[in-house]
Amino acid sequence: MDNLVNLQRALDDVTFYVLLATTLLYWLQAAFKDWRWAGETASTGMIIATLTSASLLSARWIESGHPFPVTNLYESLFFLCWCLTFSHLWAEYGSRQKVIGVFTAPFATGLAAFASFYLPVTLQSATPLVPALDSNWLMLHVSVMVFSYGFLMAGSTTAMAYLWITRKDKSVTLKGNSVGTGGMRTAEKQTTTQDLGTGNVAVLAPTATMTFQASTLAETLDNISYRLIGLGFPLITIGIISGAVWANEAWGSYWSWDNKETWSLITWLIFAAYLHSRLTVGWQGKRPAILAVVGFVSVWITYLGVNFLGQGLHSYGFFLK
Amino acid sequence: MTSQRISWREVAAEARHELLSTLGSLPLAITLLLVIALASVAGTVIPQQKGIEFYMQNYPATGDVVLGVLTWERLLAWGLQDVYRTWWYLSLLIVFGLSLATCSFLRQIPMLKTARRWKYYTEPRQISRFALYAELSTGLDPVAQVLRKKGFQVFQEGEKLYASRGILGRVGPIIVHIAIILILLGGIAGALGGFQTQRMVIPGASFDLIDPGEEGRRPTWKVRVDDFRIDTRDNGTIRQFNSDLVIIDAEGKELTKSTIAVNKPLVYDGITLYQASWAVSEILFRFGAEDEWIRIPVAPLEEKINGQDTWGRFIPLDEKNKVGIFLAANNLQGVMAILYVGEEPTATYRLRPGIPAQIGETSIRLEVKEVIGSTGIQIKKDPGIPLVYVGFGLLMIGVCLSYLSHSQIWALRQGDHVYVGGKTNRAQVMFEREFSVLLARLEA
Repeated sequence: MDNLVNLQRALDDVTFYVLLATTLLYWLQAAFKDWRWAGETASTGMIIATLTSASLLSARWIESGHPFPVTNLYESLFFLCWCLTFSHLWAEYGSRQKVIGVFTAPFATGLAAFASFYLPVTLQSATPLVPALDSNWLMLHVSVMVFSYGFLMAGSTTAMAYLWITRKDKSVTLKGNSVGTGGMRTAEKQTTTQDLGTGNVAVLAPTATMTFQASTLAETLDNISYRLIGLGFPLITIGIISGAVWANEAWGSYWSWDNKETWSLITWLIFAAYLHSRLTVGWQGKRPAILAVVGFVSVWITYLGVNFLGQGLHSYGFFLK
Repeated sequence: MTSQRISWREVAAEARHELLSTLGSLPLAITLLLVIALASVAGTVIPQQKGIEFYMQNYPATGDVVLGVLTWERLLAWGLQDVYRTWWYLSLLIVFGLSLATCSFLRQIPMLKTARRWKYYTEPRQISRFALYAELSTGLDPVAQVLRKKGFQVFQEGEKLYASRGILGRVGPIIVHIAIILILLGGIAGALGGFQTQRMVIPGASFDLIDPGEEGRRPTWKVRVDDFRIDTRDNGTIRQFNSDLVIIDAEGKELTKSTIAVNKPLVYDGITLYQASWAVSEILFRFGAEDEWIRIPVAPLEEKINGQDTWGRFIPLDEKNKVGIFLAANNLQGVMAILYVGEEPTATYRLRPGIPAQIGETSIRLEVKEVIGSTGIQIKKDPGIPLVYVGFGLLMIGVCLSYLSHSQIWALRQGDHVYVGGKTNRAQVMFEREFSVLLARLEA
């Protein structure tokens, strides 16, 4: 037991310091474009942080004996940290762009710092579950919700990267949406990426036989952000529904306008608006990305803010309503 | 020359058309989503369903007016003390539902029809319009083969080829919209045809659900509570709350028996009984060893003991000298007795049932026999549940399908050349990569 506790302490520190270094490296690579090693090392750092936070959760899983290791704020913070680093790697692999890390890494670092330094030790230790939470639904509901937060956050931070890259451009048209406008050849490709110096073709350079109009860096970031949010949205939908069904089975009401419930709905509505905004001609360009950033704030309020505002069914360690 | 007149029928037709196209429009949908979100925020910032005094105190009409405008009078007039039940919030939801329905019929279903319709391209220049376009020197068959392996449905006719994958991604949003409409309808059905009520019951007592205002909608059977227990772990934390319930008919005949617990309700006759809460309701005690047992009801206290809800009652012993004992309990295992002399607490004792104690220098004997709890039962009937659950199921399926990207690829062979082009609606970056890998494989 003691060994496991020491291992957790070590893992939680390592996760934080690795993420801190990773953040600095991503920033360095954004500032000095020819420091490629910084970007490469940063990616490795992200992978290490993903592994250490996963190990931390596994160690607690073994120690607590619960069917699932996310039962209090400390565990939930590290689980979200893992989800965020994981979806970051997904986005970085998908877009082959390091610039996303400039925005994801500091938030992941913040989560790890908050969990290991800010939370009082009493809140860090694993505690037995109160009767209302002692249910198999907990595993489904919490894990899907936190997963969705991870993907929505990574999607929003990618949107921040997009806004950063296009900060000098007045208008940019987007390609990905459910209607499928775009995909046609444009007479003069807008190049928005000269200032990055790493080449404006994000995916593959045209070969002799392919007269390939590949996405620009901005388009790539935008599309990856859209896809991440597109993945986070079904997850948050399933998460909210699982919570509603659980609440109905456990205490008789699938919706009771509890603060956390309401904020998850607000987040859902904002991202629903985001997905629809991509379909609107008048709303193209940067507005969807700005909505994604608004959604980002909403995810944080849903995840943490509500618990500091007041109690309800979702304040961690509540007694019984 | 006779002048023509636009008939009222045509005016009405235009009005209908205008109304429907506005209702089903995207800007309205986005605005509604964001306005509902904003209205919902209001309900989480302003404490809901408090007494009028609370709002008078926290939202004064003069002096420090919140945000400069939000006085308690305005707050109450706008219904901000109960946002989610105001006429304007419910109207927003109804308009939202109508917008969803209109959009599905006016936009989504025609769009799905368009997406399902396809044709072969017969001119290279038609294919070369795609951003993703290439000329190959392989035949058409290898292209078809590679595409099939990638999960495309391939259609081929002579020199022409069309391939499609992920058409379900275009069905997804329609399912999502229908699902949300079902959930909203289920909510309405629940609000109109259901009921929800709570009872605090001391074991041994029984209760009925008959409500004079709603005759016929509530059952005539009764519920008797035989026992209420709190299970604890070795370290004293609570593991579970249990109530033994017996459903009895009007004559007292037992119809069914069940033990309910948190996360384990009883469903009987379409009505669900949940273990929702509990309270300490009475303390059974006596002073002298030969005295009669005294049963006193206790009330919830504002102060908590060990962060837990606590119930208590003051028992005056000597009115003149203001001596009395305050009995308090936050569980069913014991009582805390606080001796008051002249309004000041002088000593605190913990009493266990069955073990008499001597209280202070006054040598008062006090013996607690039992702490009697009452169980809080939530009773609910919601005829909208099946509709809501079907909506939930469809919504989950719909949002997942909506992630799929609908990809289409066209190819045409002319002489030695094969022209290949394609597009997708959602996953451009991944499609680009897939497209180039595909071409590289064909080139090799």
